[in-house]
Amino acid sequence: MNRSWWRPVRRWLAGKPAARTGTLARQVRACATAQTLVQGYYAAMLYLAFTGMPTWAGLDTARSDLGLLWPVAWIKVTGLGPGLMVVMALYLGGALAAAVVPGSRVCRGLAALGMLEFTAFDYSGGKIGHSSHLWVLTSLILVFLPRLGLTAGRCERQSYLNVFWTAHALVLLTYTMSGLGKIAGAVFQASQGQVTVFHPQAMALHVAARLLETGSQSPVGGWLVDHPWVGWPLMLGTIYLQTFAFWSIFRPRLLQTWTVGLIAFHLATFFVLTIRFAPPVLLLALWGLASPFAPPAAISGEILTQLPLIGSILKWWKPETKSLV
Amino acid sequence: MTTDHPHSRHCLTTAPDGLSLHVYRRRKYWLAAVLVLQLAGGLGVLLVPGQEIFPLFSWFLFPLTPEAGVRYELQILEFRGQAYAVAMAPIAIPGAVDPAQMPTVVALGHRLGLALAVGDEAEVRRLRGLLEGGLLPGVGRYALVAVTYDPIARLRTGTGQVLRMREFKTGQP
Repeated sequence: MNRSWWRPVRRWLAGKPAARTGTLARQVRACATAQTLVQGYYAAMLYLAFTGMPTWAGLDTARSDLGLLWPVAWIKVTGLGPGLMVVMALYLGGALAAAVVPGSRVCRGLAALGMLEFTAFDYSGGKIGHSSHLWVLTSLILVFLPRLGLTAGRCERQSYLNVFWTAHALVLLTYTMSGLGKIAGAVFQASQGQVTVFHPQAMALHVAARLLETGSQSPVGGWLVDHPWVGWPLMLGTIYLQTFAFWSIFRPRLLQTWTVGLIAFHLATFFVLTIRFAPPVLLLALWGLASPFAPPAAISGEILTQLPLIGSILKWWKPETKSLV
Repeated sequence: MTTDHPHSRHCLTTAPDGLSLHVYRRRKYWLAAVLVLQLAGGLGVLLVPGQEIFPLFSWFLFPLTPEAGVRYELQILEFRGQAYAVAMAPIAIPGAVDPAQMPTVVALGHRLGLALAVGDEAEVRRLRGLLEGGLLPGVGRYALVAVTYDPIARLRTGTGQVLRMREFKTGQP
């Protein structure tokens, strides 16, 4: 990476840096928190595997060997029954091993492989699902965590934090991609003279189409269809929250606020659209609310001035707010 | 990575302890490459049918706002040996589709309609294989219809203009 162009980009994303005091002590604390969160991550993966067990029995009958995704294409050779047994053993066993020994790369590798295989099988046969993708991607990244011994030095600790940061950044990047997708879709629809996601009725149209598609009932969704002016700010807020999610990993003061916002977004999509994205909520809560990078306490004024777009407007409107940063 | 968390610039400027500076930097570049790959791969799969090469996905969820237009839908004509005089929506027949699979069936039905509309018979066979392979257990005959409607009006009134495109018998060409 050419640092001559990357450094100004990073500084722009990160804003004005905080005072560099007690850096080493903060790094030691952050690394210890990250290690705890990694162990918590595998404990949560074990929980996901275990709570999903009641649905495993029906998986082989609900899937054919047509349309198997590439990670489970080998099941065509073994057959659905034995293949599913291997996938389950890998998923549950890998998650258990990594929860017990998160410092072992072999155990983390097994957990990642199990997660990849199970999710690939679950989403085979044309099924559309994305709620476990973030667990697959993050588990693959965490395989590359370096081993931290008792005598680990600054570089090893920073290397550990870098891997953890990357996994968290990737989670937030997917939300940014979703937000950018909506903006790109709006540009396309506007060019076609169609209604865009920024239209006051956009939320009502999304809700109506989704409820018709699934045949599901949603009192909150039905109410929003009848009151589109309530749904409009919610839709605009969602686009803002999603588009700038990646920004928050560069501005740790925003991390917890953004995490709460994204969790609220997932709760809202369940109550309005009946879409349940439970595994990402677990991941967001685990890493975002207890982030090793977030300051112990952030002042609301600081958070406001760090907000993308809004922060810039505030600084322009009230220059004295710059001193809060 | 950020200036707020304890990023150890010390470790870049002072003697590394156990980990060489070269290895440390290389690892950082690889990690940055992972994020670039996620972004570039996610955009790249937009060119692939289904917009996904698992686990790479564009994350373009609900990118287009639905509006009045044509939507292709499945209707069931025969389920577990019982023929229906009036074609039924899969939702209306208990057991015809697993509720958790309903969005998948709806999406595949719409793609089947698009394939029929452009005469792509290979895609029709592939989509029928997915649907009949386990998503529509017990369904003997079904039809694909084109529905012209406005989402909000249809949610309120249940109406839409329906045109039958083709009938299918499960397991038969």
